[in-house]
Amino acid sequence: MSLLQLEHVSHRYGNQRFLARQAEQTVLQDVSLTLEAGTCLGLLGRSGAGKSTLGRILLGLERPKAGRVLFDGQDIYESASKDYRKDIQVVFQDSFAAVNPKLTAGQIIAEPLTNFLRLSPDALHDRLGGLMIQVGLSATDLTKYPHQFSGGQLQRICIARAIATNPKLIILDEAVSSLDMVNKALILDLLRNLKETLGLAYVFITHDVQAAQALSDRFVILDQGQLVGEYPTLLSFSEATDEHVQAIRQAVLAIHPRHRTIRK
Amino acid sequence: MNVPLGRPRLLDRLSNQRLILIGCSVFLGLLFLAALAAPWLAPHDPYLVNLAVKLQGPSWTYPLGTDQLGRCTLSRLLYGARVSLGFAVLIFASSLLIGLLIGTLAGYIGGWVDQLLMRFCDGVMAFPSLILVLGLVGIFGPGLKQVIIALMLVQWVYYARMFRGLVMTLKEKNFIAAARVNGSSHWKIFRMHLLPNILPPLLVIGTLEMGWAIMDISAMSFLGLGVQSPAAEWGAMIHEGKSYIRSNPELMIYPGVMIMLVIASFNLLGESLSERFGVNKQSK
Amino acid sequence: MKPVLSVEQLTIETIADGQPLVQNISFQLAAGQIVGLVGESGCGKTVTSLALLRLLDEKVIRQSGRIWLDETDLMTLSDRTLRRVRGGQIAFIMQNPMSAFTPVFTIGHQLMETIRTHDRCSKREAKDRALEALREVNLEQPDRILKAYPFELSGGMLQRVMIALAVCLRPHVLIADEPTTALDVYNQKLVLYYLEKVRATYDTAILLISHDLSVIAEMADHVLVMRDGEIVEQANVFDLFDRPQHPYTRQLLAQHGVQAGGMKA
Repeated sequence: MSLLQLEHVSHRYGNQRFLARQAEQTVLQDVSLTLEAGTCLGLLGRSGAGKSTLGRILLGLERPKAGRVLFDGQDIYESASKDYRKDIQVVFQDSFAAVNPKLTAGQIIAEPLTNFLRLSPDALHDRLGGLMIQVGLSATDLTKYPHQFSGGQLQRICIARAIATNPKLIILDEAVSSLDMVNKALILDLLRNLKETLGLAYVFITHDVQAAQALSDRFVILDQGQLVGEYPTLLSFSEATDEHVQAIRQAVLAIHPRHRTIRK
Repeated sequence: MNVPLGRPRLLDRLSNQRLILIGCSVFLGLLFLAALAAPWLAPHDPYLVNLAVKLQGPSWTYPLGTDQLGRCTLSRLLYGARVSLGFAVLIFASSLLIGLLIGTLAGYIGGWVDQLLMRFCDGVMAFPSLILVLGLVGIFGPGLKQVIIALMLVQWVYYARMFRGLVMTLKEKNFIAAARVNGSSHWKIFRMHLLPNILPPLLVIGTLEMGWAIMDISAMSFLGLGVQSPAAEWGAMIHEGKSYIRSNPELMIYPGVMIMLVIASFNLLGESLSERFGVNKQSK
Repeated sequence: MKPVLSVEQLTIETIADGQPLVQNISFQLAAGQIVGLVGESGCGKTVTSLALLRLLDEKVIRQSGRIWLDETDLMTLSDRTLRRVRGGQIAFIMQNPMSAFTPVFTIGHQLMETIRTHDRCSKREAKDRALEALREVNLEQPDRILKAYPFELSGGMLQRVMIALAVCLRPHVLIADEPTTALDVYNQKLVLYYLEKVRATYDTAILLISHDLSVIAEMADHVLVMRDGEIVEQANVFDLFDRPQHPYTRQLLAQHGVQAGGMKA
């Protein structure tokens, strides 16, 4: 049984105002995919293709108009208990918007712990310290506020929060897209390490092909709400020649000036 | 890092912002204390009529003189502060709480609940607030209690709208989504995530609104609809003093200056608070 | 070739504690040239770009040095004269396109207002120029775009509108501060393509600021590497990538190379 299974998920947006109904917009159409435990699925596509909506649906935040989302065999929208939340966590793109600016790092990371686990204050404190070290920060930073951290550091705190309850799956919603080159590489390294040591599965939603390749085992491409390509290995992805991969490849910027295509 | 862009600020012209914050807070604090301690501070009974000493100037017995019925002006000012300030706080606090509850509910739940509540608020806001208050007082009859209820009923809709807007903006931020993913209940989200982020704007609005509340009470009393004589209240004192504007203008000036000082202090306090909280601690 | 923009010993520090944000930097921009300014976030790139247009709050920040635009030192100009320079001779494209526009006016209104501020012309003429410019960046249905509000357009489209605005005003210098950072890869390439088009057509000098070395690799002729407010290395782009001198440059290139695994361009 796969860890995560999407079956024919479709979703629409339509504003229902009091008296009038605005035109409906199909955001996702008949999307089906599976994810095995401990693997990373790269979900590629341009902005507006429906990737973020899919992310919200996977997190149990938005019920799709059609289709099922099965986690560990259980339909997350049909079950009354929200216990599955313990095992599905998230890291968002903008770390500053993903944390409550009025809370300390310690309080931010502790939130899932206090919600899902019964820990004594000492055990909690130890766990928080351990998590900080695991993501490359020090326990003394637990008392600091978000504005005292850089983007890269705050994203590490968000990652600490995401792994706090030992989840099985983490949704990475453009998790490295807002970081500069240096931090992007470091965070990708961290995510890779955590995946190995903790046996995590990822759904890596991104438009950045190179980042996806650095972390993913399998790839799918989403275009205008539909799944238009599936590539089971990194090799098959890098060797694919269909139009969608071509489009992605053409969009990638040169690494070295001798490969530049925009300036002659 | 927040890059400081050149932009003119009002308070720069008035020198140190912190000084203003402290100054206003001290002044208002002392005034509140004085109002509370009125029974002990006031040299005379504010209701004591003594026609023999009417319309006197400042003296040792009567530091600010007496009014047309021989009552001590200073005592009446002090007791008046209790009414003006005390009830302003009452109106402000209660309408704020009602507005907070309803606005947050509307903003967070959304959908038809939001639509229903907001259409109701629209209806109330369609009337100029003073007219509405006058209308309500006309129905209830004149009196301080009636004025307070009327003001409360009218004021909360503005707060509701404001909190709804704030909550709707916050709701979109990913940290609310993250809280849900982290398993927090709606109540916990409200308590831990929404409230603390709504509070700073609330403080700023609060100080400015207090000024308005005082104005409203004084205005109603001036019109003869609020406090009924012989009760002491600043607006009412102006109302009574206007007949003596030629001979004893100080009867109007003292309460008038008090109203002005208090409202100005609240406004300056509000502005300096908004400077402090205006730049959000978030870098992006 | 005489430079269009020449910065000499620009130093920026906070008045309160004398902390230097940018230390003694000098560089030049020639007509039709793209100079890339690369460095991590917080190194002083944005502060520098704002300083060139003298947009920093001079009560908080002290700025010294010389900024030569053709024959004039921008440091000596009055605020009134500077306002004509900004937009008219030096255009600025910022990272977050949504915040560059006022949300309550239409795109058309804002474009036309800017055009008419810098060039005396009728509303009709301004509208024609705006439409023409939108067509030059291949935005479809330009008349619909003029009537639209900023929130109705995507980030990529808004960036192209900003480039279109630069096209209208024909400035000598264009400062693009992380113009592609907020966009996805598809829009990134488009925006850079139109920047190049502006450069080729109008011989505009461009200061392209980015933390992404790929953007620099694609576009720059000359590169400035910035760290902690100082320029640690300046070189022609090919020399920089092939023979980096400074250890920090080497570190940046290593990170850039490491991150781009697998896919050959």
